[in-house]
Amino acid sequence: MFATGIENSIPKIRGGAIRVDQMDSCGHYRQWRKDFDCVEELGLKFLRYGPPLHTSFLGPDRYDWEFADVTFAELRRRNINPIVDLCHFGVPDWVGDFQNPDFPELFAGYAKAFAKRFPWVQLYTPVNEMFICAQFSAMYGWWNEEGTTDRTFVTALKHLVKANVLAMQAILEVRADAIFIQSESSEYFHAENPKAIKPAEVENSKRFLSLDLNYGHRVDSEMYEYLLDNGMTREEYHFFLGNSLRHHCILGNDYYWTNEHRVAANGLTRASGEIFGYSEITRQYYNRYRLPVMHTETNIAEGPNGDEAVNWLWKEWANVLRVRNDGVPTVGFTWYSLTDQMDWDTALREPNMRVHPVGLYDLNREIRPVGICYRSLIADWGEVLPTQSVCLVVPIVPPAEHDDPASHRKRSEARQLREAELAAPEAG
Amino acid sequence: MLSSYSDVFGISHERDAHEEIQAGDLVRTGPNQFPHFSVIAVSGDKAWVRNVSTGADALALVSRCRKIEPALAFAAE
Repeated sequence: MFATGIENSIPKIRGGAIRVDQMDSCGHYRQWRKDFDCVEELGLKFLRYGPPLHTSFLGPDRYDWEFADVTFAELRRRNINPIVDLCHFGVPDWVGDFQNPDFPELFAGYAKAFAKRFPWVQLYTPVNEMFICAQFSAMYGWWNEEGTTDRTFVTALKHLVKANVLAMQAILEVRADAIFIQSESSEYFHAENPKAIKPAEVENSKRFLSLDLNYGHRVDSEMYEYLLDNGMTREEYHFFLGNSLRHHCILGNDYYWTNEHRVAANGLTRASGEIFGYSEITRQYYNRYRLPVMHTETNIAEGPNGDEAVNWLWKEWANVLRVRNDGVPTVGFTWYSLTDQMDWDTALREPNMRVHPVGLYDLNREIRPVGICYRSLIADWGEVLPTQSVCLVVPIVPPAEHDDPASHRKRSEARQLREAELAAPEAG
Repeated sequence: MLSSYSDVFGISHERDAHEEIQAGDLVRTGPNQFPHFSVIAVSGDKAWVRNVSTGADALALVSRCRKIEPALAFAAE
């Protein structure tokens, strides 16, 4: 699977006074048809894409699908597989923020309503980058609740992951053969000196928390104490252990040059730049979860030479091949996003309307050098990833085949398997 | 000549037409909108440029610089 995505972050900033909406600032609401043209021009059949949660989810059991109806109908017509991203760093005003304990159940209702309205959609990222969302919203004080304590962080994290798990359950009620592709940031923390080893170890444990909870993987004893000391109850923890849906999941991980950090003895962190790189860090995540892997986000800004992004794309692709050749089942790669973004140079904290030139296309929908390179890479390597093993092909039903008798049969079989799972939950 | 995977993919970054680039010009260094740079100085085939968004300085090949009309400098679309 080669993919790109339409950037759709919607955090609130400045004490909730400003709603960031990347699909608005990057022109997608006006140029969505042109954007889908660009996806096809690149030779892509997979698109990370989602309706705007804050304007689609109007209240409990109240939805506005007007924009989603037209855009998803067009994706289906073009036989583009959307990997549907339902929550990308923000919630509707009426929900408040990620401290709201009602958010998981409310969000699961929204996910189910979406799945019922678009039953041909099979691939989902229910909640995007749960760890980053909790960290930026509830630890760094940048977005949404703007929390800055371990307690606000743990509260946001448990709500985000519970929302993801409940949404997966809700979607499976509608589409038993749904496949969930997480898109989680992959991180590493390097100790600057011996006294920094302990704080670096703590950070290297925390980085796994979102996926540990999501996949029902037991956290280590230090993280267990951390979670319980900061407001998670034993019952909440056991919810995650008992509701794992990992066998429906692909371990999607994101990697940018900002994902590695240096840790000082006092625990303060700063960017280290790329040291280990995608392949080494992905091996660490794979060794922990043992799930098929997909590189779900990367990019770098074009700079003064014009080929910075071209070189980064090639480096990331070489890393994906390295992981694959080391025996990790690797199913996809994503340059994120289709077009340039806005204000990501300040992590969306400041509404400066500064163009972040990381897209395959610029905001005039003119292809960038990295877009030309990606198009070639897809054409050259498109047949190679699936040949890793014909026995490990992801069972995707393209939109155009949704109504085929064979697809009906597959869904019926998946429903029977799901019913068996629910009848014997401990087997999961 | 810069070493780059642009060579592998046959991507040319050079502008087609001749433009004289001088200190003080606002330029981009490829065919696309953004990033924008102000030219601090020019020496031979190199320009010292400053990213107007981030303030980061860099050297760029003059042959890749394209002047931007000031009125268009902040138009995102």
